[in-house]
Amino acid sequence: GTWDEMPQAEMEQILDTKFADGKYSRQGADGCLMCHRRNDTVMALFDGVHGRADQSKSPMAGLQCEACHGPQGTHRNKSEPMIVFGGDAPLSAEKQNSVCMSCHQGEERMAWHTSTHNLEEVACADCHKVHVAQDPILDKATEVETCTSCHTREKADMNKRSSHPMQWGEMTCTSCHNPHGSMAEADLISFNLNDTCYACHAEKRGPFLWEHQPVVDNCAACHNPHGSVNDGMLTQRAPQLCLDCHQGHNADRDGTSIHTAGQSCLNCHTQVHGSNHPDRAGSKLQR
Amino acid sequence: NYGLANANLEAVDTSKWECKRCEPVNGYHGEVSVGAGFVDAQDNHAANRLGDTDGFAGEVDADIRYRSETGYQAAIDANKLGSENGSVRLAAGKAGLANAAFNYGTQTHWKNDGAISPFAFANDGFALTGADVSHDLKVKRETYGFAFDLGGDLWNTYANFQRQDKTGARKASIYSGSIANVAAPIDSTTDRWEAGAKLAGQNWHTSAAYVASKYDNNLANAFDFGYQQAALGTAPSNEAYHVVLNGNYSLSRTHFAGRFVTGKMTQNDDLVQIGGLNGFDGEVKTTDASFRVASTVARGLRLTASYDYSDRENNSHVFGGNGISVDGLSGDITEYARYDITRNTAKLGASYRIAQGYRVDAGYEYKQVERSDLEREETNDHGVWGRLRVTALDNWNFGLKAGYSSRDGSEFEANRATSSEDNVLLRRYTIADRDRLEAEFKVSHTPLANLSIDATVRYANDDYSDSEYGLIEADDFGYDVSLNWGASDKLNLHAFVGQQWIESEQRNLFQTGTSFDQTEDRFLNAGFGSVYRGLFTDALSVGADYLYSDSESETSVTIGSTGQYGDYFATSHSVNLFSTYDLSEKMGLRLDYRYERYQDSDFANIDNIGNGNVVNLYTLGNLNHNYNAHLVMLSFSYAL
Repeated sequence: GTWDEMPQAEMEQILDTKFADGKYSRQGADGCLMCHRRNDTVMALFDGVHGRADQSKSPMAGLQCEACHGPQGTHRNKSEPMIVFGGDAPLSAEKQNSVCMSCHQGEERMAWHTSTHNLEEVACADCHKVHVAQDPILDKATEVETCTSCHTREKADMNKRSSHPMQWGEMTCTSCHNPHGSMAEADLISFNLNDTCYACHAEKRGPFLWEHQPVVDNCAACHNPHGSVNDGMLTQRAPQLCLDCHQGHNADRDGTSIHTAGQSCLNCHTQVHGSNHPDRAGSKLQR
Repeated sequence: NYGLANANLEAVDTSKWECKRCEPVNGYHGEVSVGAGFVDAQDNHAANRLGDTDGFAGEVDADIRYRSETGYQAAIDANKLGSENGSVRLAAGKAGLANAAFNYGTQTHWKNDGAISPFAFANDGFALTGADVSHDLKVKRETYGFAFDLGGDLWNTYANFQRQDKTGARKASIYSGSIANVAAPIDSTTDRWEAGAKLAGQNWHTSAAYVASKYDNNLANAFDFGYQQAALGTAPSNEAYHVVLNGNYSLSRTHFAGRFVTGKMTQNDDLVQIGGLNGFDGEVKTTDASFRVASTVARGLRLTASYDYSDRENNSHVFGGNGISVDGLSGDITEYARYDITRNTAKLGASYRIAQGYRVDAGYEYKQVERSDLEREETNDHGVWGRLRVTALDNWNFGLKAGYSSRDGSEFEANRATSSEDNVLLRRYTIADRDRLEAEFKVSHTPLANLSIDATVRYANDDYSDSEYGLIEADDFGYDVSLNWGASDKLNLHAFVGQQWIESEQRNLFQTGTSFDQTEDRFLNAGFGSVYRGLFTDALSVGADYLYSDSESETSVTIGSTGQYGDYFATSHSVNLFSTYDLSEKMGLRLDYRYERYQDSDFANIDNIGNGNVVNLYTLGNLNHNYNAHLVMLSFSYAL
């Protein structure tokens, strides 16, 4: 477009002034659509909620196109730019996002300002589409693809020997993470890491009579939830993982030893997540 | 800030705004598709990859929306409904007034369809059948729930419920003189309720919620093994309750957010059997509090700070015993421990734009953790990181990030009675001194407007410098490269490759001696895909995707001489060929062919039928996979 080559600072200066002046159009959307109605992307706005005048919170119920794209000013004779969105837009993510954030506040975005995506200067429009019937990232069949276009390591991890079931949308990135930031570590959706896991693995929650300390401390001490070349998303396989903290019984460890074959240490210590057995077998996490 | 609250509306006159050219779509809108086909797979593990097991495969996908002129709307979203991994969601309501939704879904994960064991489960126990019986190891989750919300711009209340029924069988082991790996049943129900209220203003928000979760194991609390009673305990039923308070406030360009959560987790199931202790009332109290602030203090300079407090207090009670377990043979004493954990985490960050297209970020993180009943009661982590991002150059973007952190803590008291099973020189890696170095370099290049190349290289090193025994050092190195080329309006091509190596070194202690072990985990992932649109006057599109992944782990053990564990790998080739054809403006066909070549091996999967190969161990036989699988599916879609 005409304004794409303009330096960002200069562009923002013009838009700041224009926004402050508040010279909105006389006809609203009708004036904009005189030129822009031939563009299918523009008209696709009316397929979705942002194009509906009957929704009180919708921009079309208020300042219409100018609610998001700013006051028209002298744009009609092509002498002034409008606020535009997306990764290629000559406008900082912070400025772009200030438009979206003015309506989209609340609990789900309460930690946006300290979130990884905000600090990485990700624009809302990098992931979301407004001029569509249904935003593709809100469809779990396409969500993971959008996230992994940047998160390439996690994309690879999904194909390791063991990983969470992401292939068919049974789980998606937002099953565990809030992309808008959260009050927990790694932008997890629950109160803390372990509680996020308990949502689907409540049998590990206990509290058990005999607890295994690293289990109640941090699930990620032994598991990598994004995937592992080891079974069970374990960071190492048994017996090596167990040996990181414990003295082994027998140094003889070829594949046919009772300490390595079958389920290795878990052949006997069957209850590594905790035991409700009242005596010695419980304290050794054996029953 | 271009937010509506800052808009200068003095001169706006919307009285003449009619929106005649607006074309809101009312009524039904969307697409529904029905697919039918066949899976040819000799191994049910292929269902994890193809979505269905051998035989007929049928599924319904739908994305249908209904909108009325009054603003009410309804939607149906179905995703592979009818397959082993399908879901559907129904929703109706009006934004800002009231909404209701219902969801249903199934997830099936296959581990193995041919686990061989002479022991079969019946009447809350495992018994020798006298014959080798084949068992399915799979987990099926069936999830359903509903959600309501009511309210407008200022206030909103909501309630939701989710139930997950889990059934199937898992790999377990029973220890009783000899050891039997068995297929243990799974049958449980997890319910989750949440209700809350939210209040919001232009620059603030507050909310309160009550969350309850209940896990019911529908099985006996222990399984017998022949004459041995309560040989395998099952997960006890349990409950958790949380009260959550949230709030945030924005003052110009400074944003505050805070949360306080208090809750408890309880478990008072019957103990596995009457023994050293007669009863148990499990209760863990948790408190989580977090505070965040972010401020753009000057043009191009943003500061952030956060503080998190997390406390786990185990208030469980034991009855009928003194809480000490004594080993009848060795005389070792294990004292009953209630693990308490308290974490304090503080982070500071700054992001500064040096010039247009040049930004530096830096941060400091501190984490203090107190853990009761361990040989080290306190650990302290200090970490710093920095990053430079350059986006100023034509067609090139760079990002370089590096970080260093160091963990130390209180004195080790490894000879205390509570850790008598472990050697005083052993350092558990979760609490040992550790120096961590991390670096990442990212580059993206767009030599042509329609060609982009992205590459990332990562390195991390964990050095447990003061550990004599246990985990000594770990390295994690990897890269990935991807290329995307929009060759024309009709043809798009992409390709990617990535590798990762995780190496770790251990010095291990055994009752019979010590060893030096090295493990290398290797992973290779590569693929390409293309799609061509526009054949037959744009009615036909064809595409192909190929994905290769290879996971491998190798462990060498040195006790005098060096030996190695056996094969441990998983390799797959996935191919998807597809074609879509528009029959008319509303109707379309899609043909999919998927091919999966999968092979894995685990040296621990010893074929041990008749308890021959490893004395005193009954394995579940050879659980390795090696198969070719195919899926052909034809789908018909109709746009409403």
